[in-house]
Amino acid sequence: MSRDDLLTLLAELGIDDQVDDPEEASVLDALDVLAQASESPPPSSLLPQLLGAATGARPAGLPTIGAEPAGPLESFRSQIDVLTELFEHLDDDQWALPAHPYQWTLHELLGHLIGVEEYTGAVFGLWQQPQVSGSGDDHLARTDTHVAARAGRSPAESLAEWRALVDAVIDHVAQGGSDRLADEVTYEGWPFHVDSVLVARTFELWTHADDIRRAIGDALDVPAAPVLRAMSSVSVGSLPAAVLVVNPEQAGRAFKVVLTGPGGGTWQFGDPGAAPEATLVADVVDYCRVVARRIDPADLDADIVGDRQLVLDLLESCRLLAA
Amino acid sequence: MSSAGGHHADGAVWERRMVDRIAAGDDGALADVYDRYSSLVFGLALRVTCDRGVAEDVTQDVFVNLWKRPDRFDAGRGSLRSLLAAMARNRAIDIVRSRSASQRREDNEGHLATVPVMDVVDDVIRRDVSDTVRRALEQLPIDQRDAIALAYFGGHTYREVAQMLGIPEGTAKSRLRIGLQRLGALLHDEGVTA
Repeated sequence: MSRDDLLTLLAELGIDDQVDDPEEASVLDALDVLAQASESPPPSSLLPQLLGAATGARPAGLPTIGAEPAGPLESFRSQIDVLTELFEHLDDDQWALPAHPYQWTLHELLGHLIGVEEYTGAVFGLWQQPQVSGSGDDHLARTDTHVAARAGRSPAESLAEWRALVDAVIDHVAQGGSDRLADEVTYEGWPFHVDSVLVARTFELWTHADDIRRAIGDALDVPAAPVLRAMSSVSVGSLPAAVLVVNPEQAGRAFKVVLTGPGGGTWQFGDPGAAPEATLVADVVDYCRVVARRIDPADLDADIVGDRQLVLDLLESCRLLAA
Repeated sequence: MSSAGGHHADGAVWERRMVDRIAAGDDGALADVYDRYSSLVFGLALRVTCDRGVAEDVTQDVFVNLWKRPDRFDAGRGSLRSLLAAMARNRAIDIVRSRSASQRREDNEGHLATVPVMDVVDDVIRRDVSDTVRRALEQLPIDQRDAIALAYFGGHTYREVAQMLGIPEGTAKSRLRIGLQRLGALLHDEGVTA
């Protein structure tokens, strides 16, 4: 029994007012021995019964905070709103600040976002696919012309241009309802459903919002728990397929991912009932920053139980979403 | 990144991580916490209720409540072990009080005979306490021994101890404190340390 336990007990006995007195040490010793003398193992049948009762009250996997994920469009829109507010409050000098880790200013970062939004609208069928200067699947090269075009525009013009594209994409998805969210598209060379694209875009917008905050010296921010839950669910849900790209030998492996904090959760893959061969435990925000390539997997503060190489491959594969 | 099994981590860090994992819906973490603390919880419940079936119910309640409300754990206010012990003690005491009230009602109706509370406590001490502790308890003056037995093994507050022994509350506190001090010294003389 720890000193904390003893202090608790003394408080319950109503004699906690003198526990700092060195003479009370013998009281603590006595209670310590008494407590240990009365420990007794319960019957082995109690654990499965207890786990059944617990998961009946809250199913395994669901976090206590943010269990219900935000919808994909709601998630996307929330980060659009955050970015809009950030952009609207930049002064002339701040627009010219560098947007690390890129070779852009913040104004040019907005140009990049315009290019991405134009591409997204084209993928969703709103307009023709734009001509690109670089490789068709190269996320950054695709927006080179939009970045360069900032030289001839004011930030206010760029912001209006971006908002018009964003609003068109949001309206298009909102009007299409659940059918449109389930549409299959090829995005950045990968097969996706529209809803997953929107969540991947949520990752991107959040990450760029933090890039702006870093540039202007503001504290980093995290999305609301339901939005984080949507992001973490889509990312972790893609791991069994994504890990095959990184290392095909990991096919069919049983693993568990536990993301702690509001908006996290627990996911288990592999044969039902099979013990996980590896478990990754990490903070949900840190994990999402690995996905967004703002934290290197080697720098992630995480606990790994079991097959370390499997977890390293999973962390490498989660970053494909931001490739 | 660390490749460590949670059980080997430092106690406070391990407890915090387990609670975070429970909040994230990891029932494996609940099982790990159960493995470490179920003997403490069950032992406390058994000591207070003197009934293995009820002690199992208390143990289940404690761990299911931890699963439902992990936010009740605040590392700044004490250890998880302390919280679970307090939850077990409180739940067990509630059950014993409810049972006592029910029994009193039945007694008033003349259906059941009263079981002297000290007999019950003595029975607990005989069954669940090691010989060394029992010998040390037997060396205490009877008034201190009864107060400790009622408070610690019977799960009663010092106010209830005072009422049950028919003494002022201040006297009950004094007997508990002095009795525990003597008990500590006796156990120390016996070479017993926790």
